[in-house]
Amino acid sequence: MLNLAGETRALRRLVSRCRARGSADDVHELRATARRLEVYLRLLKWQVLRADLHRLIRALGPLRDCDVASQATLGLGFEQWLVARRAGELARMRAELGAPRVAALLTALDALPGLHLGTAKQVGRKLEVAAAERRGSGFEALHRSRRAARRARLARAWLGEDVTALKQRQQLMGVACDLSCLSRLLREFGDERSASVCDRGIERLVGCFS
Amino acid sequence: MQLFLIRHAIAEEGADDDARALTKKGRARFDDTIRLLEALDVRFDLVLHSPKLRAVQTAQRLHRLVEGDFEVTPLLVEPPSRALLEACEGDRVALVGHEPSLSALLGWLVTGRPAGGAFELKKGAVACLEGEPRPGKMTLRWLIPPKVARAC
Repeated sequence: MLNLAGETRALRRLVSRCRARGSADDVHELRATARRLEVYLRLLKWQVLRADLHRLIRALGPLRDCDVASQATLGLGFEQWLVARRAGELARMRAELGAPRVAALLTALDALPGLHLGTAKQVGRKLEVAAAERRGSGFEALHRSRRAARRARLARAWLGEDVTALKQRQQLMGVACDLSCLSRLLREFGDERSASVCDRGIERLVGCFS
Repeated sequence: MQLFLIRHAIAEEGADDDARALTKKGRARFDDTIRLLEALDVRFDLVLHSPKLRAVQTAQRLHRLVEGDFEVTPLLVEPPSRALLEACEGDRVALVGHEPSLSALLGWLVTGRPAGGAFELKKGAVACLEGEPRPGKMTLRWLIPPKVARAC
């Protein structure tokens, strides 16, 4: 079962660490902690502070995309392009995390009340139903399904319930989502270089999985 | 635009000012105010609120009236500022905060001078202003103290 005080302390520590260092692990952990707290707010049935947490998660997204894409070794200058892109994104993220509204968000999260177990369980069940009902084709639908599965898993984790099956499902979808992120960055790289460079990158990417 | 200044509802006493929660009486009385706002067809595009728990909980109770976003801001625990006015983006914005800042803001927007003492905002009170969100450019349309909301 997750611990609220532990999570809010972790969020504060990770915001500082991301501003100071901003390693791939720091960014990943900050996003994960912010998402756990966003689900906690859902279990409280609160609408407040959720948009603020979403803004924080979104601010870290471009940096996380660079970190995910850097795990593929494709050559063609893509890796150097990613390093330069990450440096720009890191500066943007530092400015965002240094904004006074982030400090205000941390203050507000420090004072969150405890869960009412009955209400939280009801919300948790609804999140599971929503995750199970998510259907559709294409990467956008897949991203939505993955997000729904993650919310359902995090709700279970707050309630101290078993998360194994939901975790496996979410991880499977994660592989496909990471690939879609990589192909999007490759296209942007190709736009800046040439389409043929992008095509060769995608060929190599496909080669990795065949 | 319409700007709604809302003082947080009655909260418990406590050493940690950031963590003072609304009392049962505070919640019940503010719900009377919400019912009246609903009857007046008041809706918000944006609710800016202070990070203190009593303001966060007051903002949360408004959720039925919100057709846009909530946003936490440190500007509502400081004296009124132009930065706060610039953050008021939308046609129907609510600010959930504290005294003496809110009544000073009300005075500033209506008279152009920080005239906090001229207006009284009880806990859970709502003031509706119309006009441009600039000092001296807004008109006070109405102000509902919680006692009036309870009587309606």
